[in-house]
Amino acid sequence: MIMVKKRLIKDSLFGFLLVLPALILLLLLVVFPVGYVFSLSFFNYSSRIPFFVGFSNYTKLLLHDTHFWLYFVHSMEYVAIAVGAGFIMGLFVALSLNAINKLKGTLRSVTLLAWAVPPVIASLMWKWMLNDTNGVINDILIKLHIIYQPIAWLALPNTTMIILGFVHAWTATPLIMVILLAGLQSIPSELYESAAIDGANTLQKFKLITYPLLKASVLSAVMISSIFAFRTIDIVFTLTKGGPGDATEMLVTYLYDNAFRFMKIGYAATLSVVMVIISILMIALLVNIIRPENNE
Amino acid sequence: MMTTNKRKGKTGSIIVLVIYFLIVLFPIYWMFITGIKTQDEIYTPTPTYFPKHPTVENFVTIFTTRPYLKYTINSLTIALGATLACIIFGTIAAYGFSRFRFVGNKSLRFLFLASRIFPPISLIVPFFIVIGWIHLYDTLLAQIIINTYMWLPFYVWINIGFFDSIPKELEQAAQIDGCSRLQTFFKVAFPLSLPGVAATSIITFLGTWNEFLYNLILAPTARAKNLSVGASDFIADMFISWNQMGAGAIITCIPAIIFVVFFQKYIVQGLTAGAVKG
Repeated sequence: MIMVKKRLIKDSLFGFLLVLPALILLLLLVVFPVGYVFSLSFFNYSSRIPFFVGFSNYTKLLLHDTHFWLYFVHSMEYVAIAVGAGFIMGLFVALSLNAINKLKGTLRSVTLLAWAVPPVIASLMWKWMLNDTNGVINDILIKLHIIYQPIAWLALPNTTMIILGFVHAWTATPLIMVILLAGLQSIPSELYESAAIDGANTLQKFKLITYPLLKASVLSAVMISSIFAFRTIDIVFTLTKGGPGDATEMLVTYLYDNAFRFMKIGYAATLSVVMVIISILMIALLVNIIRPENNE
Repeated sequence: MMTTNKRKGKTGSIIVLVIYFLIVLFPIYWMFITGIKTQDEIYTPTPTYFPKHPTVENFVTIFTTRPYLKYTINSLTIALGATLACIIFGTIAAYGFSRFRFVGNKSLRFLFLASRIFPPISLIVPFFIVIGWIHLYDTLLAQIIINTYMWLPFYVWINIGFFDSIPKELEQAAQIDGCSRLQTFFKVAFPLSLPGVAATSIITFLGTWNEFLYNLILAPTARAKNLSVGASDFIADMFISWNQMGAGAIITCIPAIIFVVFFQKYIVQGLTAGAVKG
């Protein structure tokens, strides 16, 4: 008995030691900064000596800062467009890849390219393509007689956000596609076959078999891509830096500005904490809207 | 003997894929030919869809007039460093979480998962301050440390799953044969975990290579700047040299292309595992 107990204790210790280095790194690099940013949010750094201000940064941000709410809406627009477009594209591509049995590896390689390319490079590619004087998009659209004059895509306040969202969708679709494809492939084909025998058509098959069983993957894909879209700064920074004017300023860029241009470190920290809370709320909201079936 | 429905489905699928591949590949193709066009050709009134006089002069220019070699070396160093750190610390941690029962196993696992909720931008202020304190501003070491922070939780979490899927009997057999715990790990568990390690390492490497924000803020000079930030330098110029930027972009995309072409299987495995378990 004692030998077994000794062994179990030794095992426990060994396991813990294996975990310890990573744990130390995590404590230093995550837990500590998180605590630090919380504490920073209660200070005001505008003058030379930071002074404690309690919750007033929070009240200033949430109650008196109109910029915050405008940029919050912009962030949500960005997420909605990016995830919406990405999901639709990802779903269609996943369904298509699921239906084709040849060249799977090659097809997946091509799809993954958009994900593997650095988002900054993707943004630069699109920035050049959307260039008003020499961009290829204008050229194609003019040749197709869809527009008659070159458009300065990134200078129009109304459509720039849509463009940003779409560029993000371009980088996010592969990941969404991979998740949905994995979900699709886990649906047993017998279900489709027996449904076909029962006389179901394609649309019914999708509604009654595919969608319910895919819900868990849908939730996963939407959640992961939403969180990424909310926190991405690469694309907006490269394409518009928040412009034209502040048409594409989002919470990420607002944080960046507060921390590194206005040097309002305490306020930036407050915004950081608020963004974390928003992320958590987003997850909670999505989990409630897209409830995966638990009984199968 | 395909039914009409199936055939229609297949044609529809092919159409969707062709459209999508155009959307994916055209920007990449465009950037590629921009990088091999001459300055004059870039600024012709209508763009040329195929370079008239392809040239490598852009590559030569960026390597001679900008510290592009340094950027490349930096990117490589940071990516390799962070990935190696994740492999070393993360694999053993995942093994420990998966195979051993100790106080706090469940809650510490959750800590790794929860730490992914914090948007990196939320933590940039504390990192900026602390990096300044310990005099690591503008250093490669700081970049390696930061990228390790970004990817270690993901790495550990996914590999716990991979280790869980390896049957314990093999390790038990090894232990009966007299292997110590460490030997069991190196001789049995680790070799079997290589697919998972490969998948997560590739994703970590790419993620680090593509990192932008932290490198932008904490590596302002060429000492530690990486290719992603280096490429965006071009747009700060008064007169953007798109052809040179194209060349820079091509270089920055090389690992992406290599990994996607040769290791797509692993990437898909890793991303899927990340979604299912995360």
